[in-house]
Amino acid sequence: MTDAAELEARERLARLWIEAEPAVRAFVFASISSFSDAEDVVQKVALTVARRFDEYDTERSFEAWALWLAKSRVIDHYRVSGRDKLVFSEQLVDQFADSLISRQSERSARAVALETCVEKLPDKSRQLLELRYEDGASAEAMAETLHSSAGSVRVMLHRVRNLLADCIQTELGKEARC
Amino acid sequence: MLSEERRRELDRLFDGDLSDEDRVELQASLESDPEAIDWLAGRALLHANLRRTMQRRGTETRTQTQPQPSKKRPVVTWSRSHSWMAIAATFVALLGLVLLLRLASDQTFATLEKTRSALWESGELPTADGSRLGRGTLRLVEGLATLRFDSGAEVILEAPANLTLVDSMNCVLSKGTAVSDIPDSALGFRIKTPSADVVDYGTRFAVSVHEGTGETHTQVMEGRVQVEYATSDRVVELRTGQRNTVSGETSGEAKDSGEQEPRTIPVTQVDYGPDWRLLETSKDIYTGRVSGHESEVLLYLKTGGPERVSYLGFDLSGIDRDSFEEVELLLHFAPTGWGLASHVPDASFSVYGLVGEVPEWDESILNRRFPGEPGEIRLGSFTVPRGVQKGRFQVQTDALKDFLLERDGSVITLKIVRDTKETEGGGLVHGFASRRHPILPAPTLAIRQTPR
Repeated sequence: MTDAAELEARERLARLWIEAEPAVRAFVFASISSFSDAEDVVQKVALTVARRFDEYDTERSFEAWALWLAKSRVIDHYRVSGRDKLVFSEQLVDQFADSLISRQSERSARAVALETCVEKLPDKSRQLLELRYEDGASAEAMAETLHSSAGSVRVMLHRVRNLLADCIQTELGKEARC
Repeated sequence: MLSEERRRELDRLFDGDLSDEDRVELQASLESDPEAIDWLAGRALLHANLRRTMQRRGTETRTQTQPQPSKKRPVVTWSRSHSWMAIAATFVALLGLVLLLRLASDQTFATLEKTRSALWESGELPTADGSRLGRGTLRLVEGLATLRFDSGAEVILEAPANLTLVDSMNCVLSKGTAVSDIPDSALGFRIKTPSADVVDYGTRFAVSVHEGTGETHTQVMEGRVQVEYATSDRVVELRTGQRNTVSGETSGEAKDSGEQEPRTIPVTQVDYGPDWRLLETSKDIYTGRVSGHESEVLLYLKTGGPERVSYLGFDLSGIDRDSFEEVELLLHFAPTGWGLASHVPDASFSVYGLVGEVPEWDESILNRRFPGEPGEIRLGSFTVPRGVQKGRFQVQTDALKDFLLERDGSVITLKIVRDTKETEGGGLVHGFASRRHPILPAPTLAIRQTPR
């Protein structure tokens, strides 16, 4: 490959990957509980995508291809610890991927809206998110810190996510009306 | 519409402490519930985005409040180290893509440290000093090149040589000489050749491969190597001062080198079996000479701009042409020093046989154009890759053999023309050795005759 062609291929890859990465992240984060493990796997997917980019068939959806590679990396992750049964079934992965892909057009708007919505949250809810998402504490670890039960922490987290989802929906609606 | 209870159940996937059993159960419950999968996909995007958003906010807060201890979140003091890991993770997330893409495209494992008078044939690897090298083949036509593998192994390549790099511990030498210096970090460094694998155990050693025969010569200057034979499981160990030759099925013993220099290229430059007869030109010249540009030892070829066409005369008198089985024309190209190689693509050359009224010609008269107007028959062609100016090129066709068989008279004339024009002005002038060349073989007809 000439330098110019290689540069062009790399730029194309970077563009496609930036589009597809949120879906890959969502899939991997739903498949693996630990944030650090999931982040490692996402990086491995990025590496695989970059290494095997010349195999990518441009007729196909790049995102579907990246998600397919992501599934293999998730399988690798669980295979190491002999927990293969934890991998989503083939059919489930396909449906999950379809659903992620169908949200492609609004994904970046949702990410932007999330910033605004987190800002609007009551301090207590935001502190909860800081523990879970910034520090990476699980519901059980959070319960210990907050002198509460894991069950009520889960309920609280669920409610905060609901609040955010509603807020994002409202923000997107505002944008659509503008 | 999913019930609130079902949603709460599904949301457990994102709480960080789902047991393996619960995860399996939850995933199984999704199999027949497309609505749940769709909801989960949306939630997974939120979950993944939240991680990124919160990490970034955390980094920003910390940067702003670093001078004073933060009063904002007393509850998280227990996890300070975790928070710093989270900040680090954010940077990784931001830089990750860029670095990973670079890393993935940077699958190199060796460096071309330095070169001396190096001339390269075109190939897939860069050849500038300091270039990083990955998998691929280096084709060194002239000079020396020093490679440093990331394992620590140093290999000096001596032209003419072809070396394929496999990884930081393996390479394949298909032709030429490689002199290696292997530190402890690269014990087990392996040079594969067509007839053997030379495995190093901490030494300096030289391996030469003769093109065509695949014969492998190994000489150990210091230390120990193992020579593993390609055609059998035989292994010969060589120690300081010992050498060994592997040739096809024949495996040599370890011998002491004494003061002998290792042989690095085959003895005969034109290497044909006993049934072959080698006939050099009796006269050769090129037309289209440009004053100040001419050569006495090379025959020039160019098309576009001032054309150069070469003519070769072979005297076949005394040779029984009916016994010809195979005929091959061999030309040895060498740099002319004129024109830019980058202005000429892969160049194809045609060989013509002159027929009809071919005048008697001699080397003194061909300054401008070939005398008379003889006819010509195209006998074959060959291609010289872009950037290549050296090497042996050959034509072996039935048309060439038939041409020799059917000519009357003792002397036949062949005409060599470059078909490919330069892409821009000032393009390379190709040249091959004439019979006056001091080192390279003259244009040669290699003829295999039926044994009597």
